[in-house]
Amino acid sequence: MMERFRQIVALVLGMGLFTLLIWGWSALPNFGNYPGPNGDIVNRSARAERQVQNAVAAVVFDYRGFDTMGEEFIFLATVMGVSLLLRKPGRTTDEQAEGEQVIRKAANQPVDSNDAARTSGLVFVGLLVVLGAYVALHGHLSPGGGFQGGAIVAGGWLLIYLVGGSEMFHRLSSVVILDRVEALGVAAFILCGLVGWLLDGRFLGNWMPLGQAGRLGSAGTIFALNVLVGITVGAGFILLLREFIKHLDEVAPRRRP
Amino acid sequence: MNSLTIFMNALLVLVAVTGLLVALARNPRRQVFLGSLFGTELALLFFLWQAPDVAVAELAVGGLVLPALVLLTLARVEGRSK
Amino acid sequence: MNHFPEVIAAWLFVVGLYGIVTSRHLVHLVMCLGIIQAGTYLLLIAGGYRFPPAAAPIFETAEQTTLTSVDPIVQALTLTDIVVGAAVTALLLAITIQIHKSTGNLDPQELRLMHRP
Repeated sequence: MMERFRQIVALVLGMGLFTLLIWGWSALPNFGNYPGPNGDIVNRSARAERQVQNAVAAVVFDYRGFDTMGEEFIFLATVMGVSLLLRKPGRTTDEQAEGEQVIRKAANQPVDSNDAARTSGLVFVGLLVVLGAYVALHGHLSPGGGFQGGAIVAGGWLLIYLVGGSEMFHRLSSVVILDRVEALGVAAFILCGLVGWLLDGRFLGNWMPLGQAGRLGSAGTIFALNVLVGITVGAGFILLLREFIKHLDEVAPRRRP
Repeated sequence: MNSLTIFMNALLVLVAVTGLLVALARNPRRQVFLGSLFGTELALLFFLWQAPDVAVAELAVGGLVLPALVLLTLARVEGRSK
Repeated sequence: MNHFPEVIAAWLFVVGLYGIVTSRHLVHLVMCLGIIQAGTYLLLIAGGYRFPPAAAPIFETAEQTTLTSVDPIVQALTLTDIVVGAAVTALLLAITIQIHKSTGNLDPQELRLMHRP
């Protein structure tokens, strides 16, 4: 009875909120008639000022680079939070020992795929990692960037778990390495910003040589920050997946048939 | 109203319907697949709206990483056998 | 219908909120939060759209910067939004696992009545 009452109240209030939102948002400019001017200013001048082809990458890593730094912090804190939440109490805090323990537990898990699936699947792992690296590296030239590339690489890494089994995945995703890689990515991001402060007078200012738009080595720090964010996000997502997969192994250890 | 606008509006209606289905589906496993479909529709919509960066991000995150995390959680939570 | 995307964004917001309020499974709740976030993505990107021939803000040649394009700033905001949304979802799922481990129950309505000493 309470549930039906809650549903009705939620429905009525939801409809009220819906009308309120529509009434408020109808004051926005009509769809398709973006009035500007900030977007137009960025579009006009980004390519000439920063020798970058992707204006969105210029906004993310140069004009609004500070927001991206905050977002890196959020990501780092989230991965840390998930690791802490899914940690068994009383376990050793030595990462190396914990990693070996996880691999030992994972060795009990049967691999749910035959040789054909495993071979073809692992080929796709290589393809996805290369695709992710390409998308991350060329973020300032074509649609894509650090986040997208990192997420694609993590997706490829997940494929290792799906076709190669838990043990192979854990052997290839060592916490010792991934943790430091992720932290180094964020640290290098901030270091780049500090160097920009020293050389350019502005934190996260673009201080690297700008080069010529269209080449891989152009757009200065936008390219470097792109790569760093790709490394951080890729390592972070792999760590996230590893925590969830490790937890799965701890719950349901099965003997090999 | 040319064909592009009609297609965009139809896709928006599809997004709304899929969103409603995701919220109303009580079985989380069914929700995961609906959610993945939802993410793909969003990515197509972003692509039509001339936002290719956001489309790639939504595809990679909403179609790859998030469904994987939810499925791993469900496997952990819903039973002792994967 | 010149505010149709905003209407759909409001719809997603309300639908997701209804799903959260009447949810009986924590994982279902987390996915409904994702619906709300998707509504905000729609609102942002639709706010920066221009009708064709306005194109994506990728400029291969210098002459293309003189042509009209869509807004890149909103796309940057949405990018950050998507990544943070994924991170928050992962954290909520980890909390869900812990709740299941300590109480064995995943129903938000039941969990509110904790009478643990």
